[in-house]
Amino acid sequence: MNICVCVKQVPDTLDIRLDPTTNTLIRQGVASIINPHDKHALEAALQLKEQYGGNITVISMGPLQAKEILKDCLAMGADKAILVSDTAFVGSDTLATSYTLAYAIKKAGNFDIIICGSQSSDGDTAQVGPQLAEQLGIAQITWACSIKYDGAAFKVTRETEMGFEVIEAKLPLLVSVLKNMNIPRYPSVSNTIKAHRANITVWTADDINISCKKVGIKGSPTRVTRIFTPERKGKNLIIQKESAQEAVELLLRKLTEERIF
Amino acid sequence: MDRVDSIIIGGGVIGLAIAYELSQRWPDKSILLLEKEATFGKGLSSRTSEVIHSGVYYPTDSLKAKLCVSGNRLLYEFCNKWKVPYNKIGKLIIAQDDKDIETLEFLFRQAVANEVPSTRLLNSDDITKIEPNIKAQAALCCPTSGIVDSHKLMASLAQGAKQNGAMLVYKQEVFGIRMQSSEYIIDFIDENGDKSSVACRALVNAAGLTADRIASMAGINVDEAGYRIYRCKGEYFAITNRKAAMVNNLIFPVSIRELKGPGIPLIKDLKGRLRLGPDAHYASSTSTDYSVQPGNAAYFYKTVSSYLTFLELADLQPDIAGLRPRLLVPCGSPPRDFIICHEIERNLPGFVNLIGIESPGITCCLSLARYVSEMLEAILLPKQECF
Repeated sequence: MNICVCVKQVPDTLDIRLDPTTNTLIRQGVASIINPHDKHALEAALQLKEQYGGNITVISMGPLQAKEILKDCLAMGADKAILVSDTAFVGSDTLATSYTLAYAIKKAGNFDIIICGSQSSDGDTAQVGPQLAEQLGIAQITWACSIKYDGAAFKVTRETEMGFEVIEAKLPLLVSVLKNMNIPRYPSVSNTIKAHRANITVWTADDINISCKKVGIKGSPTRVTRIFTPERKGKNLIIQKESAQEAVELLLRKLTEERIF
Repeated sequence: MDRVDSIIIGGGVIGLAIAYELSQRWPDKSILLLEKEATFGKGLSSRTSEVIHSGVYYPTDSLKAKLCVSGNRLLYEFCNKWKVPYNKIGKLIIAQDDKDIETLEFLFRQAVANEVPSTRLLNSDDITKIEPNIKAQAALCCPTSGIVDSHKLMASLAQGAKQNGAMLVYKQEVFGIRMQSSEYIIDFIDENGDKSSVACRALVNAAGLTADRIASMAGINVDEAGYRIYRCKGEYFAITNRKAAMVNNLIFPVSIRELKGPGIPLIKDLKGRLRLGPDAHYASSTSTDYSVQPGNAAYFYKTVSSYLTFLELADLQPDIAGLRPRLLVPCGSPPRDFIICHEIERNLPGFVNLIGIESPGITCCLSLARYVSEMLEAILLPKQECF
């Protein structure tokens, strides 16, 4: 089975800080990690490979520093990693990103299944996976919590607000997976050493033969007008009393006053 | 079998600092860190006072004194570079009676000999100006002391090491060390119970509480070598927030429980919270009991109430507990110095043991890492082909 996994480098979620004056992300001193959702996509790919054999290629679009997370993917057990990186891509929105990834995927090979995390922890749009399927003109199943293969078709269980849906689809297929699908494995020592020595293939805009008008800020119809830290409106109240009885009474009174209870 | 240049066992603050230092000094060498837990800093590094010590308490010429004074400076530099939160709030070492003052004067002379910068003695009037709520006759002011976000420190060391090319691998527990020709074969077991081996030329044992066990795997008799680790438990109690603003500095009695004295430090943490601790009592050799006994609040209160007169017993709430790796000393003696030994005399060249690295380990992490990297230079630097 020829599997492709799309991954994104994101700032460590515990570390996200905004510059209060410019409302932009403070990146200095902030660690970069694999988008946590994408780790589940890679784990799903690794489990498919273990069951049905095949090859896993991970692809990321981002700055050259994203090689580090691609090495992490190789350490988890991916076979090959490709970074699509070019200054022309700076400022790409989800449409421009999915366009770029689609061209990279077409060049990388014929994949039976493309697996994405459901969304990224920084942008949180959940758009790139579905857009990518559209760009490639293949079927897509989102919010997957299980992927099975019977030799001819995939049977994917997706989790919705109403319950579970089981959908069958033929190859090639794009699936975006939820975090509750699996527990990503820890990298092994052997794979980590291999990854350490691996060369990550880097493709530029020219290498994948795309139109520079459709990428970067020029190719992105989305305009972010403002990013901001929400104002803290609520007040917290710490109740410290001599006895639990007194504290509970005060808490009940406050809850009643605020019409919460 | 896989081969690397260097392996570090243990992903606490010390192991991470060594991975950072080695990978920075020799970016072309392959540096592998093996940690048995799911991520870094799950052992004693996360259960400390987070104090950046100045180096007053440790005997002149000891490793603790030398590494603490140089490590203090290196740590602040690192924190500035990596935006690790810290607060250089300073420490007052307080004396309450004439006997304490004698000890304080000794500590002052020791501080000068240790080249701790800017320490000065204060009388009770000076103390009142700085700390109106602390009762003491005299104090030694150590302005280079502070407090650091130890998790962010470890995260930055891990990030820096990775950026330099070091490999940090978690959920890998070492269970054997063999010497074969001029290299070490390290046997380890992963999260699935699968066993593997990896070879290296330089091996650093930074396993904290289990460092004696790792040393014994290489054939060292830990009792003969004086490497046996005894787990020493220290509990902390938090002080109710409404009294947190009553103290401005770190307050340490002249002789603290950690160093076999009677006093307990008062820590003002980065969030402005006040904590008392640690105390010190031995735990069993396999203990991982991190519980805090609420009943011990009375003992803490009794110990500190002479200098923290504003405290009431009800102000104390159980906080955290830590286990420290302590080396055996004759009864009543202060703790031993760090053991940082390149085991050439035991015919184990390239093997560095770090045993009994407790307080002031966090302060020393970067100076200690430099010290270890200098030890390994002769092993790693010869123009041998890199694996």
